[in-house]
Amino acid sequence: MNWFYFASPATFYRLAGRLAPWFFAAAALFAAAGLYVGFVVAPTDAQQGEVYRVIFIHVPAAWMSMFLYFVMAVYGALSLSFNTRLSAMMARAVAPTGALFTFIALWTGAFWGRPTWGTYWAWDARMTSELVLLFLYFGFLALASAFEDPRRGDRAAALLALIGVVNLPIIYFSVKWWNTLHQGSSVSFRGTSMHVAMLQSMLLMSAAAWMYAIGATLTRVRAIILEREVRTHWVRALAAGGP
Amino acid sequence: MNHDYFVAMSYGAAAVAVLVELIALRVRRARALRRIEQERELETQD
Amino acid sequence: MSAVVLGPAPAATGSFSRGFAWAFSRDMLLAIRHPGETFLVLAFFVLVASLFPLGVGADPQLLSRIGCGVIWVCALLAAFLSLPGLFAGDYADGTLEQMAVSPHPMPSWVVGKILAHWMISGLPLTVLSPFLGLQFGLSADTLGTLAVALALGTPILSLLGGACAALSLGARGGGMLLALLALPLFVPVLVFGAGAAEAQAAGTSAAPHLSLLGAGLILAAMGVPFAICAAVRIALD
Repeated sequence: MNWFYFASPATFYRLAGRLAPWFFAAAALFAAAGLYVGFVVAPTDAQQGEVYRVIFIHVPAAWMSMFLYFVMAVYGALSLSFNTRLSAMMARAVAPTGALFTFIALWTGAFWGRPTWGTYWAWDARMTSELVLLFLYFGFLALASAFEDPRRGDRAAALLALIGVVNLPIIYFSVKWWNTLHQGSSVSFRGTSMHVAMLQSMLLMSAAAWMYAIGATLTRVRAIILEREVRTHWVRALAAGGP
Repeated sequence: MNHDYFVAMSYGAAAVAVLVELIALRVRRARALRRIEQERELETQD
Repeated sequence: MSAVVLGPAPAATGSFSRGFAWAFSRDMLLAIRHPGETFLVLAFFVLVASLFPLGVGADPQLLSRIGCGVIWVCALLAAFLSLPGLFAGDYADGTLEQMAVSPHPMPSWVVGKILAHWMISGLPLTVLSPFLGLQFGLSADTLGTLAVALALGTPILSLLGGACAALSLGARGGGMLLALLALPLFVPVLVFGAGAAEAQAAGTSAAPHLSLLGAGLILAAMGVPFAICAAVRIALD
């Protein structure tokens, strides 16, 4: 099998178009199941009441935000090593979705923190690192679009993503250190024992987030391919003939 | 404050964010197709 | 102008030390000929640090509490201010290309430039920091720890900042883009650097912070120059 068959934007465009709807459908199914288990099956928490159910969106969003950054860095590394256009386009396609999940993690974290810790923002290690991660995503997107030549943007942003992925654990570790010194133990949900249904719901919602992220990335990369391959024959034929 | 408010704001914001992303994807695709149309028209003018 | 060639052209056989010495002495000479930029960085440092008491009030307890952090943030901003000039001038007049094709290994002159940058930005900041610390009412041993922490941390800022400067060569968005790229990477340096001084002020040992900073400096010195070389190659393509 020719491993580079789908490395051509033209062939990948069609593949992505066929696959994306399935991933969105899977995301919807997983989300429905996850929300059902989370809201109907999982019991009320002894300490936090009903508001703990925010974790079913907060934790998957946080996991995805970090996972997607890693995926972005991998595509960046591929694009630098093999000089393939499509890998760079995939890195660019992942970034906005990653930033979205980071925002959702921060927002839901704030709305979970207000009733439980008493404040919308608490400078705890994870949330602060998440905020820095948001800026890392913005930096990637800004750098990628800062050049006339999109290939130059591809390569610079890919290198930045690699620098970022190495620094991310360091940043997290440093903020964790800083946090334990400056504050006492913050209220952690992990302190209480988790009912199995809660874990099930989190896993289902994580699967939903993952499927959604793949669907959104495939859809976005199709638009990026159209933008970048404007001058090619197949794109012209596409626009003339319809999707 | 009623705890339902916080749950609603969390899931509501997530839903809105997802909606915004999906709409933005459609807009981006439409813009790309329009740009291709313009390029084609420019070429036929040559 | 930055189109200065120091002495005879580099020898045909490249070596790390020659490349390093050439780049370092060139950048130092340029900085000495144009001291304005160095003074600007220092002036900015002092000015912004002096703004904080004006903003939060002159309560000595409050100032001594926030002094370490404020001085560190100002050092971050001041170090970051001098970053655009690191590669931009050489990039604009073609010197960077000449350096890239020179027989000396690329990391050598990159390290030379970074060290020169540190000597004209980070080092003066470190030397100046005790005086600013007095403004905030910090004790003598806190000032000492602060200076040591800055001495360890500002080279890391020069290295990481240099990588961001190289990545954003020729980009639109200028200084703000550079800030967005560099400041998140600066966070660990800030955390451990300010933490060291604050630990000293609180009476506990600053040794863990300083050793982490030192380790970070060694790692950065070993790894970041290669990232900068890659970024410069991308910029020159």
